[in-house]
Amino acid sequence: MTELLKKLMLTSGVSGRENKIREVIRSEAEKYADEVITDPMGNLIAHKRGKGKRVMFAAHMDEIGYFVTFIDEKGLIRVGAVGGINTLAASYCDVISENGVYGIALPTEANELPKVESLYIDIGAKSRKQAEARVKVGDYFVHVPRLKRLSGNKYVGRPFDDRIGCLVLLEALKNVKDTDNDLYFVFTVQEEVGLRGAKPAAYRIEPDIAIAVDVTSVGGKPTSPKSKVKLGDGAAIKIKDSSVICSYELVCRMREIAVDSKIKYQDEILLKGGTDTASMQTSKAGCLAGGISIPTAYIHSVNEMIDMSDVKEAIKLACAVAERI
Amino acid sequence: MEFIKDALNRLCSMMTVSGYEKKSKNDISDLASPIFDEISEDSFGNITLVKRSCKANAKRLMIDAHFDTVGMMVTDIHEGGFLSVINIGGLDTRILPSAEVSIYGKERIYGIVSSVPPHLKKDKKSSVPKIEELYIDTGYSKEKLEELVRIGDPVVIEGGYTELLNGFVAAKYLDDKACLCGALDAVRRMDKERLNYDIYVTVSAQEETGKCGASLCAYSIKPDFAIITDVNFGAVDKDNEYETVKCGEGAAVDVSALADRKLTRGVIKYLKEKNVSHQRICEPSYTYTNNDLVSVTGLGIKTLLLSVPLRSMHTPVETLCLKDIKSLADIIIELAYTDLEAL
Repeated sequence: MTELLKKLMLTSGVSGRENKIREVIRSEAEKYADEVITDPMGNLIAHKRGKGKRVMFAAHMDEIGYFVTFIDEKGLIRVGAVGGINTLAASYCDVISENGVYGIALPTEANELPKVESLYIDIGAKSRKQAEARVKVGDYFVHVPRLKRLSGNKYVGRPFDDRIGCLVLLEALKNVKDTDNDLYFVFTVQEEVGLRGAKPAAYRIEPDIAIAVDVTSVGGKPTSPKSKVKLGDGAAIKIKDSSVICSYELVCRMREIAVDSKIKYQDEILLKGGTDTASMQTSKAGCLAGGISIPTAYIHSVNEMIDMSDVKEAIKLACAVAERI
Repeated sequence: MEFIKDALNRLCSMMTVSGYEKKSKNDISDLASPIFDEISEDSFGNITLVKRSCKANAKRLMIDAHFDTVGMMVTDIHEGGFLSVINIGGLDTRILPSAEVSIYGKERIYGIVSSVPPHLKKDKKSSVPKIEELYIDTGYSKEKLEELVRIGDPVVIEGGYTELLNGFVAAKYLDDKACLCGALDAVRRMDKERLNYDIYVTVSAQEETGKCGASLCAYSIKPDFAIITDVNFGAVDKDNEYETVKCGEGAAVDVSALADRKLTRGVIKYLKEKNVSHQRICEPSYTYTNNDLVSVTGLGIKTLLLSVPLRSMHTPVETLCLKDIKSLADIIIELAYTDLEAL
């Protein structure tokens, strides 16, 4: 699992440029699925056939990043945001372009919380000409991917949002026992820029039940938002986030399944942030939709933190839901 | 009017916080089943009520009124029997301190939103509290409360149903049960022989939290026309004359870029010819009603937006004039008998 996690974490894929990470996931998914396809928007859909309920799981494979808007005469690179950049956490951190050029993201004013538009990237170039030889307007940058183990089960790095969800889906696809249910494991694109990929994927699949697997904020840290969710307290069953109110009968059913299968879980209400749950719930004539979340501290920073024990519970829960819902 | 009064009172007593509408689906069925030929529900919580015309292969007219309301959700259970909540939909937090609430857990329990007396306030300036800072006092112990209530359970502000002078009513959740009541009254009074369309009344969910319910119904029904009904801001003083409609002067036809222009113009002309009383209001772009998503569902749907004037929106004392509900019903009946394409 750790080898797979490393591969998932260290392959970049900013929203709209998911091709590399998609190939990593495809080569793994093909081992266990009956069929794996890529749809026109770029979603990777792994199908495990069954005659029962159509259940769609979705984890997004895209990550937040930057695109280059302008290169000034000094060779400094101006950027726009792809997704919700935390500019406080982003300042003075290393970034890498899709072509492998390293740089540092810097605020224009040293002591103020910068807007994304006032961030620039310094790749060390002396002039516009030198910068343009390596980077073009329209190129993408991401924060340099990383993965480190802290004490116990804790890991830090990026982008756990949402490669850890991709890991949960791949492990569920691998470990799910025989079931009547018709299972779709979907690795979606462009979640970070408006929950876009899941919509056409759900339109194609027409699920009866849809479950998004994504990260959720934890409370209890000095800088954390108000949340009851804690690292190490198990997989989180989503009740609400800012994009969706989960179908309540599905929430109740998921809790029952968790209790029956002795899976450690916690209730989740996420006050800030949306998930693919919303897009799937309202596709076509709608479906029952919910979420399994991995508690994650410092989301959208370069050092997101998870507890691997929660990930194991999330995998168990995804399997149990796939088999028994 | 008796039907309107009775139905409105029953609708307002139903718990239908956005996302939890299914808890009241049986009550809606009880109210609607004598009036309609078919009733169905979907996974999202929408209920569709169908009244067939006598025509074979009749075209479909959708009439939408959402039945969800703003409310709250339990986020935490504290020592001493207190609950934390967050809002569902655009709740006006100014009305919360000292409000009476019901929590729909294992059973319905009552609580009040606690407030700090002015004597104890450190910051003497009056300010609107954030909802996350408020506590609901239930009087139970934490242990008992944990048996009865779970994180995620819905909470609603309580309120009565009070008849005022001149046919006015003040009640909780008239948004948008007033229009649903009007749609039910309209279908109840429709002469099946004269119907030009099969009528699909969509009792839609989650308007207050993203306006998705009605467009899911529209996707399934594929109507030829859709009439969206919702409440609009009733005038209180002259300050907002151009953004408001007047209570007691009839339902309004909303003129908006997102409602079908030809249909809207045609309907206004037709109502004038037929001497059906109505008002008009302009909403140049978004209407912030189900109209905005229904009109772009599927290959696009021709919509008309009708509204009922309502004062003190999103409070437990929303106020309207019953005459305006009847006016809405009158307009709907007139349009259901007409060839809307020819207007």
